[in-house]
Amino acid sequence: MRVPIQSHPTASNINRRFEEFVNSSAGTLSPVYLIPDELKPMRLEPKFPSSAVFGLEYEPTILSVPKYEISIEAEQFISKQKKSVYYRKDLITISDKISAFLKNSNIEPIISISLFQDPEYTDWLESKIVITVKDEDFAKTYAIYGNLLDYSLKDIKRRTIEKVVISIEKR
Amino acid sequence: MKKGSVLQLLITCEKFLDSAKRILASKSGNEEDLRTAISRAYYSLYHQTLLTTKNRYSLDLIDTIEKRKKRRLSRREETQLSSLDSNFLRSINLHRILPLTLAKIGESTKSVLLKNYRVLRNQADYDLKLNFNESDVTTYVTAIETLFNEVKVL
Repeated sequence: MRVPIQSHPTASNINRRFEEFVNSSAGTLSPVYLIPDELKPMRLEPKFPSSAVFGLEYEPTILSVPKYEISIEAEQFISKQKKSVYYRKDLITISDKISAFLKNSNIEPIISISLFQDPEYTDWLESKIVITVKDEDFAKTYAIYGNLLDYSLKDIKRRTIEKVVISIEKR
Repeated sequence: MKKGSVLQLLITCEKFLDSAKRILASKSGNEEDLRTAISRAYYSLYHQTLLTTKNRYSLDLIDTIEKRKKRRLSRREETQLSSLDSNFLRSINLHRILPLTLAKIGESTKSVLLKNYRVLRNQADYDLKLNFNESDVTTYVTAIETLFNEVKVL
C-alpha cells in the first residue's frame, strides 16, 4: 500500500502512517513485533489545551484578583511614586504579614489601603494601611501593635516605610 | 532670667503626658476632654522625640531636614540648621521629619507608630464625626506612653 507523503507531517498523520505501514503487507512482514516495547516508536498523542475549542492556544490566565481594597486616591498616589511597582508590592507584603500575624493571634482583620493626608500640612501624603478589627479585639490589637509592626516591617525598604501609615480602627 | 528660660524649666514632655493621664483619671467622660487627652499625649511624644533626636541623633535630624527642603538653603538657614535653632525648626514640618529621622536611624516600628499617633491626634482635633470613648482613649494614651518611654531611652 502506498502511503501518501504529507508535506507537513503532524502527530496524527505520523500515527496514521505508522499504523498503515504496520497493517500493510510490508509491515506484516517487518519484524516490528520483535522489537522490545521500550524501543518501539512512541505513539504521538496530539495534546491540545482544553480551550483550543475557543481558538486559544493556552488556558486563559486569570489575572491576580486584588487581595485588599485600595481606594482610587491611594492607587493614584502609589502609581505616581518612584519605583511604584516595588512600593505597591511592599504595601501588599506588609498587609499580608499583618493579616497572618493577627490571624495567628486569633484576630480576624479586614485590611484596606487608603490615602493619608495631613490636615495641617496638606502636601504630606502617604499610603495608609487600615486594619479594621472587631470591637472586642481592639484593645488586644493595640497591646500587640509594636510586635505586629516589628514583624510586618521586617525587611521592608526604608523608602516604603517613609511613605506608609498603619492604623487600627474598629468595625 | 528671660521669660522663655523660665518656661523651659517649668514645662517638660512628661508634664504633657501627665496632663493626659490626669484627664483620664478625672473620669469626666466628656468627649472634648478625652480628645484633649489624646492631643496632649501625642504632643508629649512629639516633644520627647524631638528632644531625643536633637540630643543624640542631631546629624541624622539635620540630614533629614536638608533632604526634605525643596529649595536650596540660604547661608543663614544653613547656620540655623546646623545649630538646630528653635526658630528655624518651627518653620519645618517636624511632625513629618521626626518619623523620617526615626526611620533613618533604623527604628522603623517607632517611626510608623509615631505617624499613627499623629493620625489619632488629627482625628481627635479635626474629625467631629468620630466618637471617642474612655476605654479607647485609655488604650491610646497607654500605647503612646509606652512609645514615649522607649523613645526617651533611644
